Amino acid sequence: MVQSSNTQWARVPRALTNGAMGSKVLLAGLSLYVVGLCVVPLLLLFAEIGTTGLPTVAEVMAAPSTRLAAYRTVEASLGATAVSLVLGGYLALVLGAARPAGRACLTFLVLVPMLVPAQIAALAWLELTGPSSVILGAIGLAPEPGTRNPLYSREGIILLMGIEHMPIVFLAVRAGLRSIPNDLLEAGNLAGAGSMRSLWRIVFPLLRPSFLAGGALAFAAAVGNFGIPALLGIPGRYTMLTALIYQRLSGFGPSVLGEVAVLSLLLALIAVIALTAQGFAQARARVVLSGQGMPVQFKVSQRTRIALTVSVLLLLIPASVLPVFALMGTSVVKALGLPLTLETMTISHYADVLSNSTARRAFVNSAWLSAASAVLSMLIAVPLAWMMLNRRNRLARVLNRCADLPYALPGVVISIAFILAFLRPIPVLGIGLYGTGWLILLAYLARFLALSLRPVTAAFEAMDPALDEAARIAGAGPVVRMRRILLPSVAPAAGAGVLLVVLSAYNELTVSALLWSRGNETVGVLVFNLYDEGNATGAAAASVLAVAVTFAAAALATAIARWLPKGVLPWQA
Amino acid sequence: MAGLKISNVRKSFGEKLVLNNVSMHVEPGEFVALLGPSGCGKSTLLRLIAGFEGLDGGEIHLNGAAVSTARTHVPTERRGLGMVFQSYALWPHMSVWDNVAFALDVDRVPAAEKRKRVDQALESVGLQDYTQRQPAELSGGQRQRVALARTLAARNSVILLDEPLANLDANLRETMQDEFRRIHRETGATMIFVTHDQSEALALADRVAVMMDGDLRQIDTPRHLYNRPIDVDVARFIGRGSVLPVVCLEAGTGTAQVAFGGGNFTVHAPQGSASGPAEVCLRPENCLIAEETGSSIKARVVSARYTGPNTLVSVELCDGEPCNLLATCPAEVPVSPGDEVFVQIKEGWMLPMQERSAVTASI
Repeated sequence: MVQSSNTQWARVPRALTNGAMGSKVLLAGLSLYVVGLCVVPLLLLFAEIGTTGLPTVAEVMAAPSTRLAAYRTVEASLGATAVSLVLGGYLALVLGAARPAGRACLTFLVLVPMLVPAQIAALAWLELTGPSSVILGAIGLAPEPGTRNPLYSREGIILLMGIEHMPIVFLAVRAGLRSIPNDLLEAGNLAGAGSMRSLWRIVFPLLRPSFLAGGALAFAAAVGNFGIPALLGIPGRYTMLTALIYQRLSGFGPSVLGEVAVLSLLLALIAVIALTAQGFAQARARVVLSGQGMPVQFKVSQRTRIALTVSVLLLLIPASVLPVFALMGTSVVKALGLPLTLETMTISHYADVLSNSTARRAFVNSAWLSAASAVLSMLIAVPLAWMMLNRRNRLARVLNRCADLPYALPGVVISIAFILAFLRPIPVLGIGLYGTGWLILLAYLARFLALSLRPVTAAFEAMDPALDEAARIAGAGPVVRMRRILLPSVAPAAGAGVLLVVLSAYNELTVSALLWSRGNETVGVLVFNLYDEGNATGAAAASVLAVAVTFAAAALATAIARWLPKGVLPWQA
Repeated sequence: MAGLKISNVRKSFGEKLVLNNVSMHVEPGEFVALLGPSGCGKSTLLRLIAGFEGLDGGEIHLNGAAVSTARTHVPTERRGLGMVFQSYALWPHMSVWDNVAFALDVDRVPAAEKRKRVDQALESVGLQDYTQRQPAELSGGQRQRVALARTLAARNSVILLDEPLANLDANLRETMQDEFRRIHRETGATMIFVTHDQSEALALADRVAVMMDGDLRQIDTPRHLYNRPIDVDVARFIGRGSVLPVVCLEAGTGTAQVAFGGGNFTVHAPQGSASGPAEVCLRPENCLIAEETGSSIKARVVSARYTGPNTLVSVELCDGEPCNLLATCPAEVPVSPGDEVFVQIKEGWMLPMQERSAVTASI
C-alpha cells in the first residue's frame, strides 16, 4: 500500500495490474496465432500417420520408388552441398579476406542465385545449355538440335542445386571470417608463418564450424528444393522425394494423402538430421572467439589480387550472369532455335503473357499473397520480438522457436501439413479453405513468419535498453513508448522484414505447387505450367518479369539499408 | 523541494546480494555522488531510485512519499525524475529539439510554454544552434548536453546521473563537470551522481557516498572523506592512502601520539580513541622523503614514478612490521629502486577503532 496523501501516486497498483493484463492478453493472442499456424498443421501431419496405420507406412517405406527417391535425394543433396561448399567457401575467402576492388558488386553477384527462385534458375540454365541456346548459339557452341539437354541428369541437378545454395555457405563463412580478429593472423605472421601456412593452420580450423553450419543449411535447402528436381529431374528420370510427392499428389489427388504424408515425414526427417548438425556446429562456433579489432585480412600483392578477382569473375559470370542473360535472350527471340539478331527479336512473348488472363491473374495473385503475408507477418513479428527481448518472456522465446519450424523444414512438408489441416472445413466455423487462395495465404503466413521476425528481433536486440528507460523517466506509459520510441526504432527493420517476405513469397513455387487450384495460380506455378506445356519462350518472358519484381524489391531494401540494423540484408558488404 | 530517503534497502540478483541494508538521506537541493569500484552496487541503487528495478527489502521515499517498498512499486513514469544515462539514451529518430520536448509532450504542456522551456533548456547548455540536428550528427559532448537539456526542460526536481562522463575524453570531462556544477547551482535540483572516478566525485558533490560490496561505507563531505576516512578500505580507495599499523601511545582531543618502529609522531584522531594497537591513514603528500630526523622512518625504495611536480615513491618500511607506503619526493632529488631513504610523516589520521556502526565519521 502507498501510505501517502499524494493522490497522484495512489492509483498506481491498479495501473500496474492493467498493464500486466494487457500484455497477458497480447501474449495469449500471439501464442494462438503462432501455435495454430506453425505447430498444429505439423502435428496433424504426425497424426495422419497414426490414422494411416503402420501397414501402410511400412508399405510406403518399403516401396522401391520411395527408397530410390530417398537415396537420390540424399545423393544429389550431398553432391550439391559439396559444390556449394567449394564455391561459397572460395568466394567468401576471396571477397572477405583479400578484399578485391568492386567487392559490393561482386557480393551482389554471389547472391544473385538467392534472388532467382529455383524453378526460374533451372529454366535459365536449360536455356543457356540447351540446343536452342541463344548465347551458346551465338558462339557456335550450342549442342546439336535434337540432342538432350545435358542438365537433365543427376550431375545437372547437383550442379544447379550447388549453385542455387552456394550463397548460404558464402554467408556463413563470411560471418565466420568476420569474427576472426586480424590479430590472430598477425600473431601467426610474427611466429614466422607465411600466408598459406596461416590460412591452413589458423584460419581454416577457426572456420570449421562455419563451413559445417553453412554446409548443413545448404544440405537441408537442397533436400527441400522442388524447382530444380521438378524441372530437371522429372524429364531426366531422376526422381527425388519432393518431385515424387508432387507427382503422386497431382496424379491421384487427396486420396493418396496418407502415403504422401509418410513421404513428407521422411523428407522432414532428412532435413531435421541436417539441421541438428547445424545446431551443434553453431553451438560450437559460439565459444570460439572473443577477440577485438579488425576482422581478418590477407595481405596480398596487387598482382595476386587481380588474379583472384579474375578467378571470382570467371566463376560468377557463368553462375550468376549468363543464365539470366540466356533467359532474357529466350524471352525476346521469335522462335526457339533462331539466333538472336535484330530481325529475330520480338516483344510478342511479353505481350502474350500480359494479355493472357491466367497469367495476369497469377501476377495479381502473387502480388496480393506476398503483400498480405508480409504485412500480417510484420504485425505479428513486432509485438512478438518485443515480448521476447524487453520482457525476457520465456513463452515468447518458445514461440520464436516454433516460428522457425515452417521456414526450416522443406516447403513440401508444410504444404502437405496444410492440406491435411484444411482438407475438411474448419471445425465449429464450418469454413472450407481447401482449393481457395486463403489456404495458400495461411501456408505463406506460417512459412515466412521467421523471415519477418529475424530483422525485427535483431533491431530490438541492437536497441539500447536505456532508450526505453529514458522514455519511462520522461513519464511515458507503455502505449506512448510503443508508439513514439519502440516502433520508430524498429520501423526500418520491420520494413526489411516485409521486403524479405515479399521477395521470397512473390516467386515461391514449393508451397503453391501443391496448394494451387484454378484461379489461384501464383507466378511460380505460372512459370512452371508454361514450361510444362512446352511454351519455353512464354515461360522465359514470365520469368524475366518475375525476377524483375524481385530485383526491384531488393533494390528498395538496399535503398533503406542505412536505417537498418547491420547484417539484415545479406548482400550488404 | 524534493528530498530522498533510502532506508535499509536490500536487493539481490539471484544468489548475489548487491545492496545490503543501505540507508541514506539526501537533502533537497543536495548534490550527492555515489562512488565505488565497479560492482559495488552504486548503479543498482540508482536504478532502484529510478524504479527500473524493484527492491527486496527496505523503503525509498521521494518527496516524503514511499515510492519503493517490498510491497509497492510506483512505476518509473510516475516518479517525476530526470536522468542522464551513460549512453546518453538520445532517441535516434528524433531531432535534438524533439528529444528535449518529449517529456513535455507526455505531460501535455501547452505549445507556447513547451517552446519556451525547450529553447531555454537548449540555450542553457549552449545548443541553441543545433535544435534540428539528429543525435547521430552530434559529438559525444554535444550528446551529453542534449541529455542534460532533456532533464532541464522537464524541470525535474530530482536528477539522476549514471556515470554521465565516462564516455568523454579527459578535457571534455572537466568542461562538463563545470557545466553540471553550474546547472546544479542554477536549478537547485537534487542530484544523485554515480561515478567510479573519485576525483570527479570529490570535485562535484556536496557529499560523497562510498559504496563497497553492497555496503554504504561512508557518506560525507569530500574534505572529511579525504581527511577522515572511516575504515581501511575507504582510506585506501580514496586518494591512494596507505594504512600503517601503529601503537597509539596517548589519545588526546582530536589528536593522538602514535609509535611506529623506532619513531613516533602525532596524528589526527577521532574522539574517544584509546591507546593500544591502531591503524593510521597516510596520504602521499603527507609522507615526504627527507633527511633523517628523530621522528623519521627508515625505508627502502621499491619503485619511483615521476609525475611532474614531484616523484611518487613506493617504499618498504625497514623498521617494525613489513609495510609499504606511498611517499612524495621533490622532483630534483634522484631516487631509484633499492635506495635507502627516510620518510618524514607530516600528518595522518588514526582510523576509528569501533565497529562500523556509524557511517559518518564527522567530528
